[in-house]
Amino acid sequence: MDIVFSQVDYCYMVGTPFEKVALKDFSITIPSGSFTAVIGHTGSGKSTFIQHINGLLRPSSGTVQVGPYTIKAGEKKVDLKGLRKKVGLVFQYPEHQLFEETVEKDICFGPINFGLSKEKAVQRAKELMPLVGLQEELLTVSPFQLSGGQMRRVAIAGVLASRPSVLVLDEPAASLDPEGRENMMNLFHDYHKTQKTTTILVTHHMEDAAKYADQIVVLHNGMIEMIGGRELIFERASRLNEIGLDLPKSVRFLQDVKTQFNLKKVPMEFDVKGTSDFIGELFKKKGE
Amino acid sequence: MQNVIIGQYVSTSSILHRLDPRSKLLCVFLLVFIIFLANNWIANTIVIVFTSSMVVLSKVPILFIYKGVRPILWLILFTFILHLFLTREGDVIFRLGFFTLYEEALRQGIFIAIRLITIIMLTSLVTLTTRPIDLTDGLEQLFSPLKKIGLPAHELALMMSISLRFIPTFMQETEKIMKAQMARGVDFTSGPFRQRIKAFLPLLVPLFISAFNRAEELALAMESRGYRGGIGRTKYRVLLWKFKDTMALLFCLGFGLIIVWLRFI
Repeated sequence: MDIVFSQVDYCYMVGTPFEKVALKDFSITIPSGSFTAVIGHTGSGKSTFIQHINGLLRPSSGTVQVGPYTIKAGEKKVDLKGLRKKVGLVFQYPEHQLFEETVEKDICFGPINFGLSKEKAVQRAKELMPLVGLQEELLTVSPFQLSGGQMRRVAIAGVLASRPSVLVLDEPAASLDPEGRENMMNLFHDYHKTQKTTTILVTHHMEDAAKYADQIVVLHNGMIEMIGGRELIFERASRLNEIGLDLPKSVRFLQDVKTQFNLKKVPMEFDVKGTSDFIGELFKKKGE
Repeated sequence: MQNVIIGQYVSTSSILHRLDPRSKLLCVFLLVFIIFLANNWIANTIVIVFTSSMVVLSKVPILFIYKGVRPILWLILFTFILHLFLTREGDVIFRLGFFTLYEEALRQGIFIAIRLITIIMLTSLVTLTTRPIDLTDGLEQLFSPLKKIGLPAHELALMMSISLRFIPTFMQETEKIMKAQMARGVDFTSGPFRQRIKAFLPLLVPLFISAFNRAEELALAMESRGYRGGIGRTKYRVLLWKFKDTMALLFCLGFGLIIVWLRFI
């Protein structure tokens, strides 16, 4: 489903001394089936932005359109349940939302709320367990007996179980170890590829943004600062630094190589393979 | 979720903000009694004037005060109506079927409403104009004479400051979990009553669990920094009783004397 924001403003706590504009004149189009990364410093409006996609927040002015659903400022009648069924949202630390007696019940909670029969929901839970990297035996266990990482996987399965066509991820790999982080990100990337979901990933991790996203959106003070492919974004290093963001490590590394070796130009590489290939070439040339 | 004002400090600068927390607490304690002594129209008018001038003095936006009163408006309405039905004194104003409205009933109902509203306003003014930490320091000092009879003043104050400190955290947590469950299709606001009660389970269980976890983490963090109760503990911020605090207390006493005097004329 295409997601279109047109001139959305959002204000927190209107009419109090704590009033704060969180989104300003926010217009963006996210094409169906794309993988979009949203990056920005703390307080740049990332969370506010993604909560508009499934109608948890309503724009103070402007329009949000998600597939056939339109949320217009000031209008009340929207089929929120239908919208939320289509838009799966994985919050930061999703393991905090677990509450059922067994893992199976918790995974089935969403789908049943959205009107799926119990049998079908249980079936989906069974299918999802290996997909999120958990053994099927754990279905009958209380989620509170699991480790933190396992709990997070259960919570994510609980969101995926509704088979959303838009998947919004808010720092899904926060506070995981490097291996867990990569597993988690690969899980979402595979899911994105196989299910053809429109995926939106909020992250502080430039490497993840560069690795997985088709387009990157940079937010600053509630406004869109930049939008485009990774080369386009990470070219503007000085501006990114100004707004409290960094370059991916491999890009930074090659920039350092450039100054150390007085090179005219270095390519922009986003993974270990590309970087080491370039360094290898460089050594060969210097050796000659 | 944004309309609970307990423990919400509004940092404007006013004479009420600058008073010592102890004098504010004593004044409010006194005022609650005084307000209950007001039993005629003149006294109640003075109470209203007094309360509104305090609100103006505090420079706290009126919206905050209103948000504090709003949750108990139903309670006030309820007690008002109860008075209309149950008090049977004074002249009859009118009869409608089985219902008879007495003059005294109307009077009592209005007075009770005034009392409740002004008390809520004045007590919320204390928390709105005092930093929570100052408030608990003040309470601890006020209660410290009672240590002799075994009242754990320091521990009580600590409990209070911890609960005040965690109210905003708890509210944020509530909002976050509510949103997470709403994203999973829970509807907290519509549907039949039974279903709405059931909808709160997915909210309450995670909240309890996180509250217990947090309590344990906090206890560990405090112990690892050597916390061993209040014995021999010094304070970074020392409370100072100033001339204006004495004045504030005398002012409230004077206000009380006027109300008492009005009772007898």
